[in-house]
Amino acid sequence: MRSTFLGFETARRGLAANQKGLDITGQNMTNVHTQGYTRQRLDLVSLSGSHRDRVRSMSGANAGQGVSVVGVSQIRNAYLDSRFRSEIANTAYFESSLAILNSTEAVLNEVNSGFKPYLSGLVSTLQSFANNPDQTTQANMVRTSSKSFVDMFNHVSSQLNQVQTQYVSDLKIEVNELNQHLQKIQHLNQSISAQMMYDPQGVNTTAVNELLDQRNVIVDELAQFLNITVKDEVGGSIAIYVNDHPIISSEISEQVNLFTQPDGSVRLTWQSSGQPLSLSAGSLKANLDFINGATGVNKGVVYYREQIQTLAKTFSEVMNQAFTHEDGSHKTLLQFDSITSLMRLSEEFELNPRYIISEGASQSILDNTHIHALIQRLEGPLDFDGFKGSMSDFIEQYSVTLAQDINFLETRWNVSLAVVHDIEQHRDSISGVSLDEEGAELMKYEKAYKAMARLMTTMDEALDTIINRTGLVGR
Amino acid sequence: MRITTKNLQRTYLKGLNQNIKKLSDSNERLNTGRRFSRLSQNVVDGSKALRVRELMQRNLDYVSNAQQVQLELSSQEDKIMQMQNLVQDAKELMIRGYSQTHNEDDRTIISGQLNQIKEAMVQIINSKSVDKYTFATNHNEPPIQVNGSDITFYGQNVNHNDRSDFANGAFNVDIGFLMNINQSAIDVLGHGVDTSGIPNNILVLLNDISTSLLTNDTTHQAQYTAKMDTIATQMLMKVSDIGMKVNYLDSTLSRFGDENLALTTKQNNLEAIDFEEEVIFNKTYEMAWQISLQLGSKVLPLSIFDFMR
Repeated sequence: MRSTFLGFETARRGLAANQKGLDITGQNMTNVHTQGYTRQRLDLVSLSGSHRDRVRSMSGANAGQGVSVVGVSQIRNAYLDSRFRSEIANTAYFESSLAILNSTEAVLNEVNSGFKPYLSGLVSTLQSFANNPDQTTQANMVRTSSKSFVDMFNHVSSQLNQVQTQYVSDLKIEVNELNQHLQKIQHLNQSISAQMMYDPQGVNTTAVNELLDQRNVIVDELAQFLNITVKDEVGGSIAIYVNDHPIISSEISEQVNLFTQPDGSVRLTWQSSGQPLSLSAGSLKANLDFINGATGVNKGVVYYREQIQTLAKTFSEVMNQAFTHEDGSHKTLLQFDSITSLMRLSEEFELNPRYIISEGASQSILDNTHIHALIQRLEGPLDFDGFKGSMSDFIEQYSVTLAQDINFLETRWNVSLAVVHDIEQHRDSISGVSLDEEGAELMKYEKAYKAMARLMTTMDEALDTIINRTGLVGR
Repeated sequence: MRITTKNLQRTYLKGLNQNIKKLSDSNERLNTGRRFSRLSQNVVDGSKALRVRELMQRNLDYVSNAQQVQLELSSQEDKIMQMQNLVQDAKELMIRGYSQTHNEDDRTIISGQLNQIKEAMVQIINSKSVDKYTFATNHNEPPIQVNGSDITFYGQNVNHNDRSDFANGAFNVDIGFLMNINQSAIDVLGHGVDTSGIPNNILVLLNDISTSLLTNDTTHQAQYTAKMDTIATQMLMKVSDIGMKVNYLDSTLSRFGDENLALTTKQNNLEAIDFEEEVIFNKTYEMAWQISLQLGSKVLPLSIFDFMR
């Protein structure tokens, strides 16, 4: 048999549930712009009134007990999270690679400046010198344009070093940030596990919804540094792997160490094992590939520095073979130091432009054949450590390679951005807050709340009948 | 698909960014006048443009060299013409000197005048055009040395018959190919002695004529006259040879001019923007951007709350 005041209790539960509904709607609305916020939903169940055991059967007597709030859950799709993290690692890889290569192209830009104009300028002065091979003015012009080429080379070389230094320093900041992220995730793992101690299966996340959001934001950011795989662990914590190497779990918290090599390149190792990182995407891989990249698929700063060093070496050789002393020995015009990667005019040439003018008995002859031969060599085919072509071809070859690599990465970056955009849209479509929807929810709960109040009044009126108006006959 | 507030914002911001990027790229093109400012923005046209620039620079070098050759040849031509005139003057003087109407004093004066003509010719032949000896082959010294009656061309006596024994180095100028602009003094003045013992070199000839006038020896008068005519003709032939070279250079320069024009046009097609077209695009991008902004201010804040009472 139903208890007398059962209906009041039903109405009270209804009022409380709808009030909570209004609270959660308010929570959703106020967090509409909060980064990483996941839409929350009030989980309601209808209370069962039936009860049957060996002694008695209560079927039907306690029916209509109303509603119960079992928790507040997040609406999230783990598959989309995984896809997002995998693709954002690609996007970050392309973006960071492009940043380095764009800086490199800005230094080696042949469209606005570059080596070619200086090479052409030198050839022009040599043409002029060939027409007047005895004149100091012309020899001085050759010296000046040689010096311009040398200055240009040294400038480009030091700029490339600066690009490398700048990105190494950026990488240090990234590694610090990454290590902090790893620590934060570990702390959040611990906090979430502690909160969910009594629900290790993670069915009811009411108490940790906000912590889960914080952790998801950091994991999403972490995915930009490395290619990560995230796995749920019992007790609410997560384990993170980088190509099967565990970096976060309930027991492990990995850190990354950065070492700078004497040639300016960098090495990243795991703190636990000292082994180098094996990466397949993310901004860290981009930095490793293009700060260190010397050959093969990843032609980075080191590769282009080597290219201009080859250019400088070959250029110096050609120039130094062009002019001879009376005894037939070659005059050294340029000196190239491959260790410092700097080129300079020899002291003799620097101090005396007439150094390249024929001396002694040869002075009585206006010989320009060696100057024409030099022009031909500067414009003709040479061997650049395997590449056969003119100096201009060589400059063009590495400039075009760089430009094509940038083009290729830009195309892939744009595709990756479109994919990320698509995944984000899907993710927000599921986890994001829609103000229209929340507005409707607001009206829904408000109407339901009013209905519950009416239920309470109805119950009150019904009891009023039995309490105050029943049994008054004959009074 | 459920559309959330963030969906709307992200799509809107993506569109807005795309529009402003297009506008910014177009602004850069209008500011620079170039279709690209980095090779990676247009690899194919960019690498072609670099080649064209190189060819243009090389062409400019060749034009400059060809113009210098023209000056050099013009100077050679002028000087040979001056010497040819001097030969004519010398011939007239010689005829006057040999004339029986003149006495010994007159012949001495004429002989002196002939010597002056010879010296003038030596000065011309040993002169520089701008910064080089005009008739010095590839030498950096004056070609003719006069030591009394001994006249030498870089150490070799001009009466020597074998041409190959005289210095004859080439002096080349690069005008797309190496052009030898060498004009040897020995070819202009002549060398060796003919079968009758008459010198082919005008300076030696003038020496001989001058001496014969002093001794009133008219034996070789006719041969001297004929020789002077021959030398004058040879000089004219040299002038005509130079004229042909000058003509060739003219056509070469005109070809370079045409090539440069073609290269400039090619460079414009490769590198330069079509301003009218770009301005129209720019305005279109600007309009798209403004529409995006207006759309943002009108559409984004709207939600059910704007209509709830």
